[in-house]
Amino acid sequence: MRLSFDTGSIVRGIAAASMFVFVVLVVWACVSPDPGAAMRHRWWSRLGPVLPHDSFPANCDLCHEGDRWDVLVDDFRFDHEAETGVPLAGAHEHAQCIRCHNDRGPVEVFQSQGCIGCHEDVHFGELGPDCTECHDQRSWRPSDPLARHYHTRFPLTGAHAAVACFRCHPGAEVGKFLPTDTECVTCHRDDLARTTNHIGLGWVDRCDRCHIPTRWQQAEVR
Amino acid sequence: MIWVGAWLPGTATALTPSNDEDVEKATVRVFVRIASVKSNSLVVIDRGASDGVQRSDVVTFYPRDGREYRGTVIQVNDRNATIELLDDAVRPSPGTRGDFIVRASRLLELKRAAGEIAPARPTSEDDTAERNDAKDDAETGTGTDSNATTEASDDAPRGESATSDAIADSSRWTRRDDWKPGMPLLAQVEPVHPRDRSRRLTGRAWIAADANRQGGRGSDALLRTGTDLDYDNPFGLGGRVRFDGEMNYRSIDDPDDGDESDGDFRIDRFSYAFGGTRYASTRIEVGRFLHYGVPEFGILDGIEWGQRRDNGDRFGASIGLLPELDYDLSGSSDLSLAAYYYWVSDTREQLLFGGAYQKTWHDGDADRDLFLAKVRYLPIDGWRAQGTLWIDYYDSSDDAKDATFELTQAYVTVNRTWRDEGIDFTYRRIKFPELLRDEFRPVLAVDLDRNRYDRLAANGWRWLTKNRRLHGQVGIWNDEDDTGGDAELGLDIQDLFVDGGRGDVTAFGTRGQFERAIGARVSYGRYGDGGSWNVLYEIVDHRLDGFSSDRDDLIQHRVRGTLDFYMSAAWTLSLYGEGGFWDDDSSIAGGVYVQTNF
Repeated sequence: MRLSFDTGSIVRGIAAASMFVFVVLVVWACVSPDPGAAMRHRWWSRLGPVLPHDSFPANCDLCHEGDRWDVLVDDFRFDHEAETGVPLAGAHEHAQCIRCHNDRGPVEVFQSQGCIGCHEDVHFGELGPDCTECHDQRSWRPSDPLARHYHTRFPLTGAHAAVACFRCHPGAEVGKFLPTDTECVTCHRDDLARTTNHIGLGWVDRCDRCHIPTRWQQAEVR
Repeated sequence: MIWVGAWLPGTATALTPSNDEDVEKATVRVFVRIASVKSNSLVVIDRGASDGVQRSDVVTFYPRDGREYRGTVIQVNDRNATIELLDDAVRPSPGTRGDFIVRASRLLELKRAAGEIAPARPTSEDDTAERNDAKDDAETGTGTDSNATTEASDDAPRGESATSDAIADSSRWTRRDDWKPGMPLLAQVEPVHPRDRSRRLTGRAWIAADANRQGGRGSDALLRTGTDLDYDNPFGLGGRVRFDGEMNYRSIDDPDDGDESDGDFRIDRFSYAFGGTRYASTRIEVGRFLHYGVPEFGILDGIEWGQRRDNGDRFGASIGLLPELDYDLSGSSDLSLAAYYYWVSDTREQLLFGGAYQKTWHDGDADRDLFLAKVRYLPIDGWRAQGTLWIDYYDSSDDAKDATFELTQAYVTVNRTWRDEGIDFTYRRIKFPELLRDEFRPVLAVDLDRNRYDRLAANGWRWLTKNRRLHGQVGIWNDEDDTGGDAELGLDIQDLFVDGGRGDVTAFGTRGQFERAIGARVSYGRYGDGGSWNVLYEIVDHRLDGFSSDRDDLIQHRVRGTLDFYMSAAWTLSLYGEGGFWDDDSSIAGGVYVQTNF
């Protein structure tokens, strides 16, 4: 689905509409009827007992208040690493229990698969199962993608290290990075077309023979 | 052997022998579970002094993988005890069952002290029946609560503190009116069925702005805002409606091409899914969504059906249109029909083999025949392996490729983690498939067939001390023209200077397609619950191939700073700035990201 705009006023309208949607959602988030203080580790009684208790200690009052199964004790805390051996890093620490312990089945099956056991593989399986190679577990923003490029055949040099990802990876915004051709002309086709003599002389590939990657206008004859 | 189940409240009289000599000879098996793990060698069990546990008792554990390991009781509390495992290489997990054997006389002494001396010995027939009942208890994993009627502690003589209140509480928590021998003692937990759960909206909203400027030669800007919404059980069927979408605005200022700006509203997902839970083995999703069974098949506007068998095997199929995987997910020219089957060794899925097939048509013309092979081997201990192969089939209508099968893409990773070190091996292959569909920038037909990229890498780390971690990586690649590689070695120091401080120094080198580079990177930051910051400096000497003059050396500096605030669990604010400097040129980039989840 795509709506394309060229005029500045319409673009500003989009930005304003975006901000409006954002503000509405934030307000909604603030006034939504979550039980707030009644939640413990973002669990509340209307979710029900979301995971089997058959491996829990026999004394229920470690977690539950009196004879109320649906009320957790005020000082309830659950040290996930100490109790299960699985540390919760970053945003996982504040995630709802039900996001992992849910109706799909035993959580240990999914946990053993790594990130993709619970998270959709939005890179279509092309970048491997270990999301932490590129992503921080807190904000999910890619951390230092330039450093990753030194593990490829195409380290980012000069201006290449400064441009937005989508300039070379057209599908970057939807998680699609591969395949990407490293031949200069694949990305610099328009630059080639603007030249007055290159095509006529047959200089249509291996731009690196004459051009350095930091400045297109500078060329040297070997 | 006497099963401790016979010591259940109400049946404790069962094994009260009349002959003390018999008692001295008799032993009792007490069932336990690991309640928590303090460390790899220390665990806490849910039985304590009131259950007859004493220091130096040896407990045997039976994890689900069939192995056994043992530990010794080193500390006893009233209702739990700490066990030191004899083999510190095992990785215990909470819930693991175990048992220990004690003299029946020890438990009898507890009962006597608690005033629960049984008056009579049952007939041998009753005895057998009760033993069987107790054994059933044990096999259902509930263990027993022989102890629930006592409140003994290490400090007081056994049994002296037993109270009727404790007995009453215990009964309320562990007994049901309709309880019968063989049933679990702990009240049955009956989860709320998904269709009975209350409707609820969760999700996040975010806004991001990124911009860069490449010296005096142009700039990019990207403004995005979006939301992910999950609405549970909207129709009372236990399903979920999901919506992920964003609006964005991009601006490209190129002195050669001129300015270009564009705005888009993109829907990444808008779907309704139900099933696929422990209650429903069938899963159906309809709308726009990422293929659930085989994400490699991309985003679909259509319907996917999946089925899980009792033994854990899964299979399914989908049909729909494939939007093009670019920034606006536009296009409806590609029809997809796909199916898959996953075989698993058991419901734990430690070993999985999968096969899938996708057929696409572009504007009505047959396009792609893609076969996918998957394997996953994830033992609890040992080498773990995962791999996916993309195999295309070409026929005579495909001009650029031979009419045969071709390995288009592969990702295989094998790793092993020990206590203080780990290593990964990764193999990757990338080729261009021949497609009518617009999925990547156009390449020449000759390159379509010839271009390829294979890379094999090893990545390892080792904790030198509690706070110092050595990490390194070695890779080698080969494409249709060249061979190259890269190496990296770094030291990560935690709690450096201050608590939560973290420094890293890394040296690296690369033999790329057009250059060689060698450099170093140093970073320092502090990480805490409320936020984090990090600064990084990098210097790299790029030596460009083919230039014999003094222009072949390019020293490139880079500085980067990040700042993150975690404002409660719901809000995140991230900022970053980056500068690059080389020759007499420079570039800057920066961005801000705000997210709230609800």
